Amino acid sequence: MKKIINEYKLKKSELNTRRLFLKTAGLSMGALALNTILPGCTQNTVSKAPIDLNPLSPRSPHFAAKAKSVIYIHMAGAPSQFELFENKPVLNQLNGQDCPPSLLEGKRFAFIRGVPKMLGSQAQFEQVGESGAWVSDRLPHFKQVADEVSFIRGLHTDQFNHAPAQIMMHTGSAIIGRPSLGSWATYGLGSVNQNLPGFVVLTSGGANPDAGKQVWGNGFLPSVYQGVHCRSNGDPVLFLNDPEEMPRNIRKKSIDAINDVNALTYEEFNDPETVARIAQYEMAYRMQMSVPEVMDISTEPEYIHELYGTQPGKESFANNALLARKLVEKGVRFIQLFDWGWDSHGVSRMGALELGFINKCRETDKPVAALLLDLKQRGLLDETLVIWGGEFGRTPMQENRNGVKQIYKGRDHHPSAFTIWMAGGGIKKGASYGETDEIGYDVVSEKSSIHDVHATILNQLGFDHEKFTFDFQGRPFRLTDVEGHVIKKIIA
Amino acid sequence: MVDFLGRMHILILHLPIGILLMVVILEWVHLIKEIKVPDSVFKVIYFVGAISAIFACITGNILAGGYDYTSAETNDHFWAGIVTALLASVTFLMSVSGLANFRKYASLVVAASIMVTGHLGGSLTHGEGFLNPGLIAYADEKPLEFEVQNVEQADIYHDIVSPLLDNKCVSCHGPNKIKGKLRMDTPEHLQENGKSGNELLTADGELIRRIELPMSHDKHMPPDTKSQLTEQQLKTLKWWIENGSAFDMKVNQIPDHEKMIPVMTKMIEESAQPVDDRKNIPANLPETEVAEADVEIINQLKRDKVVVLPAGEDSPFLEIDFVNIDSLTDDQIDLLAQIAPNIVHLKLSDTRNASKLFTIVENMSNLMKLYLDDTDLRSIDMGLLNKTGQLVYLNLSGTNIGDAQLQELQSHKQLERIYAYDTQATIDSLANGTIVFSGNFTLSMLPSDTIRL
Repeated sequence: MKKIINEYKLKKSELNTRRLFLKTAGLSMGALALNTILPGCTQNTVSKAPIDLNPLSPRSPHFAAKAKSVIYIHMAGAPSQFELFENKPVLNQLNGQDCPPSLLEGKRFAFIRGVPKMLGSQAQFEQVGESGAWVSDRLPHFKQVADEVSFIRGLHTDQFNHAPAQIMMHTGSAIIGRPSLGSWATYGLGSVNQNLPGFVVLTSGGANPDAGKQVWGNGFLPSVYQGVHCRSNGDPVLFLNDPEEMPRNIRKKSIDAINDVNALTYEEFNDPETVARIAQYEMAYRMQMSVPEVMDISTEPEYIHELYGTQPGKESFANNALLARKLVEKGVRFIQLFDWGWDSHGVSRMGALELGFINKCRETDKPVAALLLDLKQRGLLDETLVIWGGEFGRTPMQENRNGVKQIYKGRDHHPSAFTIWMAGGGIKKGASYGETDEIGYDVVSEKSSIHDVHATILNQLGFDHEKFTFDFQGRPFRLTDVEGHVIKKIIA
Repeated sequence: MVDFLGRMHILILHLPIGILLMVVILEWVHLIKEIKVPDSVFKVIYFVGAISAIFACITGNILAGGYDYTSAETNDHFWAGIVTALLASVTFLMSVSGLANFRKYASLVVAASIMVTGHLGGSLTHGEGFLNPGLIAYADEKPLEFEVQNVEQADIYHDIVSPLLDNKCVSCHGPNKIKGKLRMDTPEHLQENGKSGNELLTADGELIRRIELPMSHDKHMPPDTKSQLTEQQLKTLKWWIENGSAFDMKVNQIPDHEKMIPVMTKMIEESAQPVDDRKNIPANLPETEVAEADVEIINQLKRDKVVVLPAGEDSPFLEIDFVNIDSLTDDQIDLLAQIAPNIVHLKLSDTRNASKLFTIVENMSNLMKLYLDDTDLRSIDMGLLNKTGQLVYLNLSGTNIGDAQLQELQSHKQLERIYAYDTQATIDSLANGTIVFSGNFTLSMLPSDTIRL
């Protein structure tokens, strides 16, 4: 016992260092000066609302938002645009010919070496719906909902490896450390549902995205805004259950005791991370009840299971898509779905455009179409923004890893041009923005950057991306850094 | 190097200002007995003041040469600066000669000269009228207003082009700021061309070229932070320039005016309802004005776990969500009744006793979206919703609503969509055009869905 008290005294004295003294002394002198310089500023403008310390309290964005929730479907590994949405007849004619040197000069590829051959589309295209969008026969169900979405066809990124490109796609920077899109949204909006996190991540395809948890990380934002990764198989959230034989009321008492201590610590040091920790304990306690309920899809009626193609108890993209709809209904602001296995280089059966890629399409086509239809019939699509995409595109050339022709058909990573789509949440129906050249190698008009996509998403959530900032390391940070234009052409 | 020296003007000019104004103060406080400043100190200060004033002149002259100013603009500042430097030098000479007694009066003259020079210099960088904020606001955002009764008879420059240029260009290329040595506020100035020397008003001239550069290009005009030209505005300008950019013609005297009249008419109509394309604020709130809701009532609802949020920062309208609440209580109904006109979105999804809402719903004059999905609506008078004139969205999915109740809404003027998925409703629209969504979408199972390759 004496040891503990001594250690406490030591820790306490460590805090009273010269540096801390100077820092607090400087601050209080400044505050004293300010108080005299600005009389009245502090007295007359007493806020009427009670001060709210809960970092997850719901908040308003800058202006009336069109989208209340976001479902971001990320096909990790980057699906090929040439087998899904980009119909390029000229590329099909060039199939098997040597790639012209003008396309290779000054370019670096992840795996292509020497002179690769051009590769025509491995799928058949047709124009569908009133919008006349080109959709391939890989996505038969999507054809029925193609009129609901707006395509961004001229997107580019500056990263050609999965992890940095995924981090770029979700944080706006290829270098780790920035907050993810969902964290920004939760930081700005809080969580309307007190019993569920504001930002939920669901993964499928047998592996997490290459970039790891950075793609739903909080970066420099308080950690309470990071995505909560839920599993669709077994316990939805790990380490949430009470230890065996511990009744819930004792659990509650212990959490209250911990939070009381944390509240004292906060009063002493005012570190926002302490508040975040208190909120997380309380959230975890409430989630013990609410999460298993909302994550249970077995109570859904049979026709819903038929619509999505779900099988309760399995880890699948279909189950996650259905869960995403349930979470939106419960007021969760940001749901990220990652599906792994889209990296079709053509070096294995799984990564072959004519084999594994088709399997991935079949696993996800119906659930994606079902999700849009289900949100639509429940009146939720017009305030739920759904985004579908990968982290970059694929080359119009066939991959020749190490200069050798592969036995399967595949394409290399291609950051210069790729296609994503958005739907719902105030996005136009059946619009298209951006155009690539006749072999889909480069953007020829209406080029957009990842910052433009972020600016557009924030705009739909009610934020002016130029004013939505967080102060860190002495300067305000934005998700879009110093770039980004809202893509108005796809906004309804 | 020369360029660098020129830019040092901005730094150096503050030295004579500070030094020479300080010496005035010293000269006069020196008269107080308790304060003693030795004469040698005055000599040093006057010397440094004069030297720095001369340096400011030299660097200033270099700066004007390498910068975007015309000699007419900088003329006054140029001479004022030289006068100041001369005066400062004369005062220094007084201090070292026998005229030290007149020094303190001379210092006043120097100070006055410095202020004049400083003001003229400030006007160059910040624009004329900077000290009058009212004028500046006018200069920065001159509203786009066309005073045109009959487009055909309108004076092309005076009525059409000039207001457009005033709105889009003149805040930077006008009397207050002359960026790139270009003024666009009068016909004479427009014919002078800018710093680049390229023709401004020819078919392939600088004006159209700059506007048509991509937004991301540095030379694009107007700058990407300013509001851009609409399609009609650009067409009009191009047409005017391609046909000789006349300053004294009527619209109907210019070739192809038949084609352009609808374009200009549209442009003039649009200017009457300005679109703030920079902020892109979704206009999805009622246009009526309401008073702010009582904060005490909002706080009471919040304590009850009801989510109450303004519809955007500083909006008096409220979005209310009962997501954390199982059952609607009478107390909550009382509170909602007191802020009824402020509510634009009300979400009661999956909340028991939602029927109670119908006792107060007719007061919600600004309600636009109402969610009653998965609620236990019982014996309600659906017709009461006809009094919520702004309602566009009504979600009744998962309730026991039938066609008869929906028909009561067929005289509602605003209502666009009713969601009636998982109900007994069978109709797909009402007589007033309101769409009734029943959903029940299916995706047929394809053989390929389950086959693995």
